[in-house]
Formats: sequence, structure tokens, C-alpha cells
Amino acid sequence: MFFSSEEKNLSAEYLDAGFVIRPVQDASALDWIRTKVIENGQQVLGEKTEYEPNAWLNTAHERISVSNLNDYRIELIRRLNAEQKLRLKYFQLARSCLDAIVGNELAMQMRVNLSIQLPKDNSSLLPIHADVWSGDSPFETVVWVPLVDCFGTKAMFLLPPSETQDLHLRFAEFAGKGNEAIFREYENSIRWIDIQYGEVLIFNQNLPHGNRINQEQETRWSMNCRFKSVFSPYGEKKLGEFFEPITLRAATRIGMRYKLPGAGS
Amino acid sequence: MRAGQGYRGYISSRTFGGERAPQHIQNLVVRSYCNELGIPFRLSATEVAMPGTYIMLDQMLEEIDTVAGLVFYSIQQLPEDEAHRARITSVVLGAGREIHFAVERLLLKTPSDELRINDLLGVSAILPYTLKVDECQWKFEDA
Repeated sequence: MFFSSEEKNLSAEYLDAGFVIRPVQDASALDWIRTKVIENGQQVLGEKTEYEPNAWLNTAHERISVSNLNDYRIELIRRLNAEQKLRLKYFQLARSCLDAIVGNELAMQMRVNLSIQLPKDNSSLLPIHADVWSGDSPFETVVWVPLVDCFGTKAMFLLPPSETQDLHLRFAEFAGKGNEAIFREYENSIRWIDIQYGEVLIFNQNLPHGNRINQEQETRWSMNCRFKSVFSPYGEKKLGEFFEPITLRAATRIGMRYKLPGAGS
Repeated sequence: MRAGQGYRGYISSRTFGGERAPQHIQNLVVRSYCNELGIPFRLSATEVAMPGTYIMLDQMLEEIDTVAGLVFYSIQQLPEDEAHRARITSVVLGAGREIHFAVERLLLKTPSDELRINDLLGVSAILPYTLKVDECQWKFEDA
């Protein structure tokens, strides 16, 4: 393969570990996103106070109740996705990594997701799962961006590729037991992904992942968005409904419109 | 928004983009979309079943001045032919109106919106000629 050494490293790391973590490519874009999250988050709460971004996010559980959390999150996602620059800024966080891992002609999820995990809250958990089990294309990758430092149970977890292979071979054993049984079986093999604000995580969503109750003292805020090569196979998440091309190249545009001479209008 | 004039729904009685949705489901999606955006919804027009025919859409374009805009169930209801789509866009934007697409939550209001939708439909038209997930797996197993 005609890759640069950095591209080779990224590919090898992604294949071996199932994820890569790198500093965001555009720190100002990340700050813009975080500011928008806080501005909109304050508006939804009816707050007008001065804030220090990190402190405001980490202490959100002091202002948001568990009972209101999902409505709050949904409204915030709606407002954020109404920001015209959001997806471009998000893409800019990981553009060169995506170029190396996925390709340079990309489809991007049409709405960026936001997760908020309050300490001790069991209402917003993502049990162990792989997106591909629910109909996602195995060609998708997830760009996961923390808006606060994530560590311990404030982080997400991922089952490494070798253990995932083992799970695949034993999958029938878990029929009728639920996904908690899978978590318990592989609990000692999962990898908790510590990551700081200013970094971006790109992970293979074919690998089982999820979160547990956040036992730390701070609220976790993170965003996620899926990317794939625009012409790789789609799963249940279709082009137009879920994905949209974002970097169509000139040759593709020409090809899409080309008709052989005499082939009709 | 011209609230008094409302937005006319546009659903279909034939398959589009390789998919079929029952008409009452299409109407539910369009109405729900309008409610969510707070835009007044007027009854939907239902396109006829004959492939490549746009009698109802043509009529809606004739009456475009009487509504604030149109709400399609999906961008896949647009004609495959790009020149035909351009004529529709020209009529709607020329009248200062807009088209919403409920499934995709897209808005066609500016020339850049038109480019975005043409990209989506252009790629969609090619995807049937690319591999499906299960075909890839079959090839891997066979290799």
C-alpha cells in the first residue's frame, strides 16, 4: 500500500486495538463546538450565568435532574444540529485520521449525537453492543469526541478485536441470557478508554462497546458521529436518511453525470 | 414563513428509491415533521402510481403561489432526471418558496441546498451498482 508512515501507523493501530486516539486536528473547532454546547445548554436551562467551560460541564449534574435528562439532551441535540457549521467543525477535528482510516470520499452521519452521563445515573446507559449488530454497515467508523476529560467509569469501554473474535465464536452461548451476560463474561477483557478534552477517539463500531454507571464525581459529555466511505456498502442506516456525502470528488461528480454519446438524454 | 398559506404535503402511491411506504405512514411522517418545525400543514397531494409521471406535482407547482412551501415525504420522490429537478427547483425558488423533505429533514431553499440534494440523489443512483454488505461477506468466504 502506498501509505505514508503516519498513515501506516494509524491503520496498524486501528486494526490492532480497534481504535486510535489523537489530538484534534483543529483545536479552535473543538472550542467552538464546546462553546455552542454550553451556550445552547444554558439557554435550555434558562441560565445566564458566567461560566468556566470545563467546570460548567463537569458539574452539570448539579443543574440537570435525571428525570429531565433525556428531554434536555434531545432538545440540545436538536439545537446543536441546527447550527449550520456544526458538522463541518466536527469533521475538521479528525479529517486527516479519517482520510487514512476510512478514505477521502466520505459520507457523514446527518446528525451529530450528544451523550450526557450524570454521576450515578442508570437511565442513560448503553449496554454492551456493537452497532453492526443493529444493522449498521461494518464499513462504518465512529468519531467520538469528549467535551470533558473522561477516565474510569466516566469513560466508555471497548472490547478489543481478539476478545471480540472469541465472542463471535461463542455467541450462541449467550442466547437467552441478555447482553449483561456478555459484559460479565468479558468484563476483565474490556478496555476503558481514558481520553482528555482536546483529543479525538476513532473506533471500530463492529467491536462491542458501551458504558456503565458513571461512578465518578463529574458529568461526562461526549459527542459521536459515524463516517464511512461513500461508496462502501450501507446497512440499515441509508444514504439520505442517515448519511450524506461530504467530500465528493470532481471525478465522481463527472462520472455521476456521464452518459455515453448516443445513449439518450 | 407565510403562516396563513400553509405547507402542502406531497406523498406517493408508487415505490421510490427502491422503497415503499404506505400512504398513511407517509402522511404521518409529513405531519409529524410539520408539527415538530411548527409549520402549518395543509393536506397532502398523492402522486399517481404510473412510473415517471408527476401530474400532482406539476399541479402543485402551478399553484405554488398559494402556499408557503411544499413538504415531500422524501427526496426520493423527486424525478431521477437532474434537468427535470432543476426545473422544479427553479419554479419553487423563483416563487420565493421552499421544499422540505421529511424523512431526510432537508430543506431546499437556496442553490446550495439544490447541490446538496443532487449529490445525495447522484450517489443514491450509483449505489445499486455497488456491493451490498452480504455480497462482500460472501466474497470473503469464497476467497
